[in-house]
Amino acid sequence: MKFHEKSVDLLKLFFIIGLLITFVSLFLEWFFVEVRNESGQKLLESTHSILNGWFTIKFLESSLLDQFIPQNNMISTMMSFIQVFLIISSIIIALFRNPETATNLETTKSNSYFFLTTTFMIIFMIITFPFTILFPNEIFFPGMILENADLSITIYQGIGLGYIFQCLGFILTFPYSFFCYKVATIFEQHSQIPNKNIQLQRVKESVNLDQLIAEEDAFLTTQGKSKKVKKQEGVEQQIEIAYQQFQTQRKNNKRVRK
Amino acid sequence: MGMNSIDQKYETLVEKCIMTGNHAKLSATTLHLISNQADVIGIKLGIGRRNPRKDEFIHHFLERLNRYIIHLGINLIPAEMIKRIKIIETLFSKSRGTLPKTYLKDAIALYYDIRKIRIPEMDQFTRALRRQDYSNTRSFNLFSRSPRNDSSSMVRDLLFDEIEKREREVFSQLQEGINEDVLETALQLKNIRSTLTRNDNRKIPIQGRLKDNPYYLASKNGSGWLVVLGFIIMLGVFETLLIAETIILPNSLEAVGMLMLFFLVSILLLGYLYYNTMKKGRY
Repeated sequence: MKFHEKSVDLLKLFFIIGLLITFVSLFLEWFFVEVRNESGQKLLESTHSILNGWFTIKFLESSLLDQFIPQNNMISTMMSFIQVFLIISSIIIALFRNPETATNLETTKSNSYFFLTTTFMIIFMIITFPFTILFPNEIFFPGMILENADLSITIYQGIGLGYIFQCLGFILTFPYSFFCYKVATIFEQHSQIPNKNIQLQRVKESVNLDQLIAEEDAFLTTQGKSKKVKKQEGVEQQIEIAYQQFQTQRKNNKRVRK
Repeated sequence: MGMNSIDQKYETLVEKCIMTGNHAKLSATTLHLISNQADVIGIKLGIGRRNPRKDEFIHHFLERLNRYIIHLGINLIPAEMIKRIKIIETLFSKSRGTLPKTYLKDAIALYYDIRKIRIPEMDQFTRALRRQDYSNTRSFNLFSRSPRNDSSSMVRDLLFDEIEKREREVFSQLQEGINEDVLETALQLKNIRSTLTRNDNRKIPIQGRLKDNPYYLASKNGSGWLVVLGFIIMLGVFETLLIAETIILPNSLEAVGMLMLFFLVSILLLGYLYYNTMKKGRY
């Protein structure tokens, strides 16, 4: 069996796996900040999950470490709820509605829009996260190791499994949702294709052979005329020369007689 | 305007252009007529016209037509003809509209060759089939009611047997050469078979409009590449985030510079690969 024959089923499987991964990602850590001393001992650990925000554990009580605790700003929980709703609905639609056997183009279209919304929601979360959580805290994306020589500490920053899963979720969900959208669009365009006879007529009318022949004829005629004119001009010139010669000869003859 | 009339006019134009030495006009017109002929085949098959807005070359369009009908085991347009058209199209665009004399002769010959391909007018036929499929889907909805089972298994087996015999005949006829009527019969048989197909539960599977449609089948071919497209978009998002980061936090430039470059190169490479495959395959 060729790949393309089963490709849609495979994309659908990817889509469902992608949605599940995205769902799981909401409960995992999206980013972490760790402060360690020279010996590698953990002094502070901050993790961010999309539902709970920043969660900090201080392993050493010191006010110096407070500057490394990120501000507790987070993406609205409502966004996460919307995403959960979209994910669950998309899984249900994908499982119970097959675009291949759809009976109604409108339903297929609305399903594809729903899938696309879910996919865009994922990408929205991926983009919003650094702007809302990381950049205001001057935390680097996707991660960095910073050494503070004054305090003899090393700060480790990096994206967590949650964020990686969200990205993976997008890569897995995008193909199927886009495929469904493309199919629905192609059918919509196809239903707008004009009648066959009109199309054939348009093809025939697209080239005007009569006009092209007429243009060539006109060119040939102009060329012919110019040749005639040149020929006539040449004859007149010859006559003129002959006449001039005749006049000179007559004058010379008269002189000789005198 | 009949084909004879077009032929007469075309012959006149060829003579006149030779007299005036206007090879550019003759090249352009011949290629236009070849394109028109390809369009006619597409329209008759129910696919529609070539899409020049999307830079679809004639040879790409002809390959698309071949893919559309490949399930019948025939090559509607010979590969050799497609190759010739490809050469002519390439030379035409490279020489900015004037074909060298040898290729001009070949282009004229090609126009007459492509005219020899006779296609049954499938548009009405496919539209009728779509309606039929549509009604099938409604009648045999798995969720609403149990499937109707009017014909006995014996009749079904007999029908299948008859269809198989006819398919074998048609296949051997198609191997000898493409015939308008035979081609139409082959397509009809294929559809009758798919309508009659039943699964093990003796339920008639939903013959959805999408599943049987050639556009859908054609678009399935390139669906694997959508994973690559998704990957490119993801890399693009990362690149944008890194650019934004370097603007908001300029200190990060030194650290993420290489990463940005890596993403950019990856986007360009994958984008080029994707674009080329899509252009070549016309998915």
